[in-house]
Amino acid sequence: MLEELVKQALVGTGRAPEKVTFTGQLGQAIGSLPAGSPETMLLQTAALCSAYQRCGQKPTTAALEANLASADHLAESSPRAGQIVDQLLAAPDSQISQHLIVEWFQHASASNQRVPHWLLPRVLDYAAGHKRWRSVIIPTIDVRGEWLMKLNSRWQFAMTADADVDQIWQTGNQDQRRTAIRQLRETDSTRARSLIESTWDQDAAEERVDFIESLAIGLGPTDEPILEKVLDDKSKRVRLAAAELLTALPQSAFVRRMTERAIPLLNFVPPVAGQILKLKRAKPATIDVTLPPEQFDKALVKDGIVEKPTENMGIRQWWLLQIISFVPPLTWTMRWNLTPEQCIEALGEFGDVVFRGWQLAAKRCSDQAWLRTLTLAAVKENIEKLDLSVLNILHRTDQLEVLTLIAESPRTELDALVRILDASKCELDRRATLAVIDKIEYQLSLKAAAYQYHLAQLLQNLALRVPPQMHDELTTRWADQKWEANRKALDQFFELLVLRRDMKREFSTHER
Amino acid sequence: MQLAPDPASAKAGQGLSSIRKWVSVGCDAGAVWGECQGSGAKPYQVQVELAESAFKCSCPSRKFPCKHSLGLMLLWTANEVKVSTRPAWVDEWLASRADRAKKKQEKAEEPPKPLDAEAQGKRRAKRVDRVREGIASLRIWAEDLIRTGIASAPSQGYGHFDEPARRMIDAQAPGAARMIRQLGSIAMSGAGWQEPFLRQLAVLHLLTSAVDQIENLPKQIGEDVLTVIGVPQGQDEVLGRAGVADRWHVLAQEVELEDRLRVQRTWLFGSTTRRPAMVLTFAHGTGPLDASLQPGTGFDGEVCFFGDNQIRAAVKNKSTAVLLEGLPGLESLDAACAVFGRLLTGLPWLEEAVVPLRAVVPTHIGEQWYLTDARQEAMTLNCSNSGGWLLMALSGGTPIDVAVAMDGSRLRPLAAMVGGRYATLTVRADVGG
Repeated sequence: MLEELVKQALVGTGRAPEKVTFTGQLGQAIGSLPAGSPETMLLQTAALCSAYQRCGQKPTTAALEANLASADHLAESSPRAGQIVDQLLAAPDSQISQHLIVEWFQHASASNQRVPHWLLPRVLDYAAGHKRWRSVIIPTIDVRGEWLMKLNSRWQFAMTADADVDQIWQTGNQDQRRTAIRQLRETDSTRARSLIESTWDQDAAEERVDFIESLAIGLGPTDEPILEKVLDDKSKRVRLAAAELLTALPQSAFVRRMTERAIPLLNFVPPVAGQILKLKRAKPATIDVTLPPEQFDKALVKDGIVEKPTENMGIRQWWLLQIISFVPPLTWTMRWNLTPEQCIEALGEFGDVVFRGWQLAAKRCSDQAWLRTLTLAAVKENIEKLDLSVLNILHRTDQLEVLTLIAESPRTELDALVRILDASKCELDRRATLAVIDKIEYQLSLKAAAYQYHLAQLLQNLALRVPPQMHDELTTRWADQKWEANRKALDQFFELLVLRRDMKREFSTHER
Repeated sequence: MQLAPDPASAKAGQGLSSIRKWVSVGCDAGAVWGECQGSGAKPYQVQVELAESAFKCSCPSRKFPCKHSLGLMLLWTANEVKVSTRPAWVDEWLASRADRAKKKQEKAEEPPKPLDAEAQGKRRAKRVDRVREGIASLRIWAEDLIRTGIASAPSQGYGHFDEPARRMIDAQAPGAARMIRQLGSIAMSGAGWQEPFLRQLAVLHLLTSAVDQIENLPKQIGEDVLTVIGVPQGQDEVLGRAGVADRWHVLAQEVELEDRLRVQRTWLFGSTTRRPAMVLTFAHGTGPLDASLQPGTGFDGEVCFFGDNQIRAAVKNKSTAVLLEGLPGLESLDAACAVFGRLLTGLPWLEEAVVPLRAVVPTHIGEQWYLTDARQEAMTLNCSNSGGWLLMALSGGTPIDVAVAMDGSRLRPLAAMVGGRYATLTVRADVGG
């Protein structure tokens, strides 16, 4: 009813002094208004109409279809825990905030607690924007969260699992296909493999590498034919990816071929005991290395071996390195009936090359015994030999042992420690923490008055990794250390640690 | 943590919730105290009186409560503060508090000082005169606007409205100034601005007419008009009247920044009188806002209204606050409309009133949200999409109690009561988009 008045007001009463007429009660009321200028009349009429409308507002009938969420299964996390994650979610996105958020959800999952309802929209938004953390977040949203997800298209990211994989495979983008095939590999590895084969000829090299790598999930002898076939691929990267996976299949023809090539190259010479008459001196065990023939065997290319060195080393050593790296290290321990330690001890000429080959091979086969021994040996001898990417393949206990050893070694410089701690991802235990702490204190005693960049880095890394319950202990221990120039780094360290401690405490004291 | 004046303080308080930062801490049944090493040489003395959540800290921060007080409270709630004997400085403070409380009590019991009614009346009359001059110019401004047409309003920018708003401030009519600024915001609000703009302009115009004829209006309505314009009666005078006794529920609280002034609106609802009330308090800059009324609590007491038709009120006396377990609100949207209509009849300038609704279900069509009551009647919500999803998450499809601000067309959800727990609905934007 205001529309006519609005029209007039828009052009102005100066230009369109028409009169709008109203009927009924409202018309009567308007009729009784004292006369005045057109402006006054319009405004007075509008005021009356507006009041008339606002006073008489009524709800409209609406048939509501009931859509009730059923009861949750988990207990709600404590109010304080909710406040903590609320603050974290509102903080600017950073590696630190992500780490803390993930830690919160891990605590929640571990203590069977759910996100409070009022936080669900924020949490689901976060999950929508942070794909890699979804698997940690989703178990804590419980029934109500899943109910909400179904209602908001923005939150329907988790539904892909139920969607038709074939459809995604045909029409999805690279990212969706990548996720779909990895999920399918977990549940139905054969079907995933045939999907990969079905479009192999059309897929780009980058995608092909990606799909071959996905076969690492649930890898088994049935995957050998496709991998063997792919060794002929045009792309070098695809060939290498296939060769790496085949190394982890000890019964494969590929491993057999590589082993045949490798055996003549390494020859174990047992120790010779010294004779009493000292005509002969005692000789320790050694591994004699024969370099591959000078003529490059073209068949090697097919098995993923690159002819020209990509780094500065002799060409035949380069071939040696690659051949060893495709032979499961278990081959050597079985063949020579030795422990990995004994094998490493016996290395002599070209020892560094063989050592690197073994490191690669152990990594490809995830051979824990070999990985552990190689890593410890590298740490003892020369940290520079350590392949940092190995750290996270190691079991946590072995990883912690390595980290402790590194931190305890007086030769370890602070910057190397920072690098190594950055590379490893596991939570530290008390022992490893104390070893790092000792290192920090030693460094402080050297030059407390100077700001130390690496120290700040180390503390930041440590703040997210040390057991949060060590907060109080560290507080006492560092109460009268000489921090001076590094005070700020210390404050930030404790700020994070106290938050982590509170978080852990919130979940453990409210455990239900 | 809800006591924190802003998120930065909340974060800083969290940072101080480590025993490491504290030189000493202690507590007993009535209070918590501690000495916190800040940037100064001397540690700050921080103390909290538990019964009334009163804070004191020797730090120079103008935030209230400051981060030290918040940190101390967090430590205390984490059971890290050991019971010990009060140091002298805490005793002093508590004693001075008790003293002040006693004086206040005595003052309250004293018969109110006979006001110098004559002088006060004169002062006010002078002010009303000045307001009238200003308002007269506003009337001309409004009519000019209509004569030349309002179509160009959005293109003229806020400045076009700032100037007359400032004139109203000069004329000591802050209420009118605020309405003009709102008019500016409506003009800038994008598609569909025209009708609300005309409504608001008409209301302003109506106000000018009322001021013009204020002598001819019944006294009570005259007072209402002055209150709307921003010339309310003195708080003392209002509190001198008979109050409305009820169990009052604190439904919601909103803080708005007007220039450098923070304006806090606390919305109350009388559980038997079914009368909405709004308590206004102010704070300059980062100064403390009144914290005596906490949303989600209720009290028995008397509330004095600034006029019979007004919703603006002041609390005359109150019992200790109790936590609410539900919002015994209006049983239907229809009833809510009736309450609002009645208020509007008495006070046509009323912008919003907050009422509690019992057992309503949130629904949405696209990004438009609705509340539906038990009678299967619905009203449109005025909330962000994130606000809608928050309601949805809380309700899970089942009926919940919601406190809404009514403006005669849409409902603005402010708080919900679910499973006996109070939840504020004024969320940060950007969720669920």
